[in-house]
Amino acid sequence: MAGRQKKKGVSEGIPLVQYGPGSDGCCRRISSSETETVDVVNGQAWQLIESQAEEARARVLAGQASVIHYYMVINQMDPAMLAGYMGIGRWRVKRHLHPKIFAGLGQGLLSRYANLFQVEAVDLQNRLMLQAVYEEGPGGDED
Amino acid sequence: MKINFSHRQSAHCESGVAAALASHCGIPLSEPMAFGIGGGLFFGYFPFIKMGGMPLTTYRSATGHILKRLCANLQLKIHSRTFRSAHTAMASLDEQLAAGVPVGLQTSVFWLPYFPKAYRFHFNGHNLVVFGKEGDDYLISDPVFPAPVRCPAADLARARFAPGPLAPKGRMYYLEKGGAPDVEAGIGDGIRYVAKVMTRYPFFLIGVRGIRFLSGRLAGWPERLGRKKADLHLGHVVRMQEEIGTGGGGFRFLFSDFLREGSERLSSPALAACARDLSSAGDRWREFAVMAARICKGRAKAGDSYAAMAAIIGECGKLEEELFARLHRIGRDLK
Repeated sequence: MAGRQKKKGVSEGIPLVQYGPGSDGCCRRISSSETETVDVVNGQAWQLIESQAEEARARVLAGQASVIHYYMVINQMDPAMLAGYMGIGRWRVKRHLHPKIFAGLGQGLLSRYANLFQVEAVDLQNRLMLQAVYEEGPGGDED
Repeated sequence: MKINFSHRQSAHCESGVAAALASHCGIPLSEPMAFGIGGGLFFGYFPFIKMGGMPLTTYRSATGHILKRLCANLQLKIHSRTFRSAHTAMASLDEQLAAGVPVGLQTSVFWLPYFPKAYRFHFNGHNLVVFGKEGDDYLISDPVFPAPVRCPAADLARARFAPGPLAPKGRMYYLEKGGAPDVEAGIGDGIRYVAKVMTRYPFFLIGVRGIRFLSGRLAGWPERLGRKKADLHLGHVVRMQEEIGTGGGGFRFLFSDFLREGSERLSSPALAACARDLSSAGDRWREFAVMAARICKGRAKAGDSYAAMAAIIGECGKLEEELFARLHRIGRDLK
């Protein structure tokens, strides 16, 4: 995950509309892909997510949490949000974060989790820790 | 199927969508005009509302407010509805498209694959216009992007039904022209509304009082939270101020451009002076953001500190207090 460092700005070179003061002191519409300030604070937010992802990965490898925990964290969710997406109670999601209870999870729930996280149900069963839904392209840093 | 809809890029999603939809209804509007007539400028600091563990700081009014106020001011009828099931929501969208009506949607940003990765957070207050469908892809006029984009139906459905704060619940809307719009009166209303909220709102976390409160709190962050957490809080404020959709300077530049355009339409030199003053307040906000970015990056220059940033924000509060009080007086004499 060290390769996540962005070389380009947050907009990846897409010119954005911004407004800024002109020569007469009034504001005008400008188009710019210059996002230096935003790059810093945006990068800071992603660093936090990445460090949380590393922690989650370590917990899953140590057998302290199920693979659902990993996918929840890399997709920036918490149990309440995940429960919202799954349409089940938060207490059930919290149970599924335990490795033992996860191991007994039925095919139906498993494939719903897989569908949400955009991976295969087999990947979940095999405890593969693949990429988050916002990463481009297939594959990723496999475990 | 494709509706003839002219896409235009904007700084802010909601005012961009509002301007584009109003223009489609035959009321040509620029983005700053839509933002201003919709009374979009605001300030609020709510430490008890947490977004991703960070206190909520906002420089604009609540999601949906701009569109509502704009439509009320310009006699546009807004047809808006939410759904329980994604299936009916998508079917209803298809129905409107088939009838030739471009449809505005509230969505999450997280599930939209055409967004660069850096923007993909769970933010549910995004707005876009759907103007066609080809195969399984929807044709979308997303105001953030320079050209129209495409989005697979499954992703769009998920984005429309994201849970959590500001959950869109599949919200879709379209506008219909009502009576004859009075744009001049709308400008007056937008100015009066914003000036009132900024200077007279009876709650200490809103308007210029909120700005002053943030200034006071921010100075104490390193001691109260520790350096690391203070930097995270700081970064979050700057993101709300400068990241996508604000046009820079926490919407101050955008509103300033509205005041300039308004001053030309109403031939009011007093408004033009306010536009310039708000622009300089925006400059100060931006100065704060640049200093904050240096601090977050660990590259602080001599003189960069939390106290210095608090002083700049305090000055912004002072500038805006004087300015919005003046706008309040000017607004009373407008139509």
